[in-house]
Parts: sequence; structure tokens; C-alpha cells
Amino acid sequence: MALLDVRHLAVSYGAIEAVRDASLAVEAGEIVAVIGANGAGKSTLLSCLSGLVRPRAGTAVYAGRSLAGMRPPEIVGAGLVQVPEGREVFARMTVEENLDLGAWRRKDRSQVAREIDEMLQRFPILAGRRDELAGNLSGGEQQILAVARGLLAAPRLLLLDEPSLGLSPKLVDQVFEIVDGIRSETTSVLLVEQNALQALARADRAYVMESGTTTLAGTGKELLGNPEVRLAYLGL
Amino acid sequence: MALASGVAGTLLPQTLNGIFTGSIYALFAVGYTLVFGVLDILNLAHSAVFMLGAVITYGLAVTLGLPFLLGALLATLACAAVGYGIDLVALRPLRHRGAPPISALLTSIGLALIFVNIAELRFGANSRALPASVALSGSVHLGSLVLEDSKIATLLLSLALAAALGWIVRRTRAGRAIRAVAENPRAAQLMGMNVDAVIAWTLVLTSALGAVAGILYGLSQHDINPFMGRDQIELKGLAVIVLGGMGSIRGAVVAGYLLGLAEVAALVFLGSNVSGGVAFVVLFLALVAFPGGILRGRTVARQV
Repeated sequence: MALLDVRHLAVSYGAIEAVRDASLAVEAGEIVAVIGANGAGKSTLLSCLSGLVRPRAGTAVYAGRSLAGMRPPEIVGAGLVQVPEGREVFARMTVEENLDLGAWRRKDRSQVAREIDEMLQRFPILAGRRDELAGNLSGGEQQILAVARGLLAAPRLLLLDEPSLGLSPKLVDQVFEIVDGIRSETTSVLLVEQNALQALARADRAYVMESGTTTLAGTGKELLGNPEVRLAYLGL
Repeated sequence: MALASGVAGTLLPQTLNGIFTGSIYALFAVGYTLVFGVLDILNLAHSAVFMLGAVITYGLAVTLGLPFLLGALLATLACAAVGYGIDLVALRPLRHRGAPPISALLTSIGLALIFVNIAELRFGANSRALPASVALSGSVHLGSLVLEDSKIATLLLSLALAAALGWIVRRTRAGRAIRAVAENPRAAQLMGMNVDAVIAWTLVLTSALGAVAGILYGLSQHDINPFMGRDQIELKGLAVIVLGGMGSIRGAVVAGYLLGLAEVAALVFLGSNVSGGVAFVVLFLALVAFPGGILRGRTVARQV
């Protein structure tokens, strides 16, 4: 059974149908990408999976449990963790406080303290800035902090919403390398991206989302070779 | 000459009075401003909670004859529960609907009116004072200066509680949650935080402080009535939090004392007709001259 299994999900904001019919699956240990244009409904899909908005129709099953009845704290507690678009770090708190807030639901405080130290070593860009306000970091540093904060929640499935948005090409590479490094037997990644080239290159499998509907699916390589995808999303 | 010595003779006790009243303003305002910092709305029921603290204490200590401190403690707890109710009834439903802040302003005014009317029914409309036998009625004499125990208690307790609130918000895990929700409720939710619970507890905490401010006011000013929130603190509290910078706990403390001192200055130099309008002037000046507050930038989310 897939770790995440989404079938015919639809989400509306009033009269606006942001997601019409989205179906996708993430298996344990996979990196799965969802690519699509701005406004295709990708972020709304993730908001729905995190419990911030309710679906109008369809099902989403995570680790054998329906997400329909779960509130955001339970969802995070179950290991389904989102790193939101635009980082949304707590700008007026320190790097360390941000990391600690990532582990809000966890009870193993001493383990969390160790992991914060590990995280700071793993991302040298953050190491010297433990007590710095997150708002003083550059966009790329904030993105890395946001990912690190998400990892401190001990996710089984990390939802990454546009992690490369607004970053310089060099930082984009760095962020995608981090995404690669996150994937393990115990952690899977669902990556939503407008940067289709990088996302498809890194993903095991991918979906294309258009006007709220998942229209194409395949391995990253397959979609990279697909003429429609190449024309619409890769500009090739 | 006689006039000069008259002014000098009243200056010290009046300054002390300004500090005592100011500390009540400060204690009232720290909670008021914290709720604004977290929710971006004015909880206009805060002044009714101030009144309820004093009125319930009176009811428990005088009508029922409980020891004063026990009565005050129970009244504070009751008001903390009222704070929870304020969120549950007047704020949360609107929040979940994504209603504009003005709606919460109106529902909290509505709740305030209900509280005042209930108090009027149970307590009557007249002003009462706690009998000297009930509560701190002694005083300390320093030369010609007389310091009432109730006012000393007011000063110390207000400072201690305002400092405690600042410490909670800055240093504790609960305070970190409050700051996270104040800065970005959506991100706080994505951390797995129960944002509704954080807001409800903020209301509980601030309402308890508002109640203590009301009890201290009733105790030291000998004036307890159902309208004391509306007449004595509502506008002043607003002036204080605007002057202090909306959302700033430290700013509210500093501005509380400034207003207390400005009022006695007006009383001494301009007469009692004028002192009642000081809060208006402060509010006006704050809005024009210090729109970000006197301690600009020190809002809740910015580590108070």
C-alpha cells in the first residue's frame, strides 16, 4: 500500500475550484514531483493534505489513515509535514527557535536538542547563525532553514512547496541536493515545483497538474522525454 | 509663596498616586495589548473582565464573607474562565469563518455589554468600596507621607505580574507558541501547533491579569461598580496600548505609567476638570506623533 494515496481530490474556495480532480500516490522512499504552471492548484493540494483546507470531494489516505477526519496537529504528529511556499520562517525568532518549533509535536526533547545540533552541522550555512533572527537570513538561507525546520518534525513524508522559488541558480542546485539527501527508507518527499527540469531530474515519479487536474503521470525520465511536457514546461 | 509650597507639598503624594494608578493601567494594558499582538483584534470585553474581577471579589469577600485573598483568587480564576468563554463565543467562530477584524470588535463589545448588565443585575448600579475590615486597609507612614498598603500592593503586584507575563512570552515554550501564532498562524499550524488552543490560553492568561487589575483598582480606589470598566479603564487602556505600540508588553507598561503621571500632572497644574481628558489627549498625540508606539518595533512577535 502506498504511503500516500490521493484519489479524485477536489478543493473549492467558495465558487472557485482550485483543485478539480487530483490523483497521485507516493510510495515509501520515493521522491515524487508535481509540476505545473502557477495557479494549477498545486499549493492548494498540499494545503488540503496538511488539513488547512477541507476537500470538497475525493479521498486522501496517508499511512493507512484517511486524512479527512484529521486536524493539522494530528497530521503533523503522524509525520506528514509541509515546508510551505515562500518559506514562512518565523522571521522574528532565532534560527534555533525556528528549528525547535519544527519539533513542536515531539516529546523526546533531548533527542530534539541533539538533532538541532546535527542539523546545524549538516547545513553549515546555518551553523554560525544559531542565535540570529531568521528574518536576517537571505532567501536561500531561509529556504534551507525552512527545510531543516520541517525535518525536525521527524517526517515520514515531507511536502515541499516550491522550494526553489526566488532562489539563484546556485542555491536552487543546493536546495535540490538537500532534497535528494532527505529521501531515505524512512522519509519520502512530495515535491511541488514550477522548476520542472530540476524537479523531473530528481524525482522517481512525477505528475503534471493543469487547471486543478492531474493529467499526466510517469517516471521523472519519462516526463522529461515527453514532447508535451518539454514544450509546455521545459520550453524545449 | 504659599501657592508654591502648596504645589510642592502635593507634588510628591500626587506623583506617587500617578505611579499607583499607572501601574493599574499598565497591568490592564499588558493583557489588552498581548491579545492584539496575537490576534490583531481589540478585545473590547477586556474592560468588562476588569470590572468582573472587582465585582466578583466584592461578592465573594463581602456578600459571602470569604477571606479577601481567597475571594480575589477565585474571582481571578473565574475571569480566566470568562476569557476562555470570550474566545469560544465571540472570537473563534468569526476566526474560522475568516471574518474581518471589525466583526470581532463588535462581538466583544456585545459581550462586554452583557457582562455589565449581568453585574448590574446582581450587584446594583451603585459604587461600593471593600470595607476596611475586609482587605488591606493599613498604611505606612514615611515622615509626613502616608502610603496605603493597598497602593503599595498594587504597585508591587502589577510590576511583578507584568514582568512575569513578559518572561512567559519571551522565555517559555508556551510563550514561544504565542509568539509563533502572533507572527504567522498558518506556519504555526504547519508546525502542528493547535492555534485555537494557543489563542484560548492567551485569552485565559490576559483575562486573569485584567481581573487582577480590576481587583487592585477596586481595592486602592475604593470604587467598585458595574461601569468601572467602561468609565475608568476602557479609553485609558486604549490610549496606553496605542502609545506603547500595539502588541508591545514593555511599551504598555511604560505607557501605563506615563498616562498615570500625565493625569496627576494635569490634576496638579491644570485642575481636576482637565485630568479626565488626559487619556484623550494622549491617545490623540500617540496616533499623530508615535503611530508605531513609543518603543517602536517591540511587538509581541518581536520578542516583546
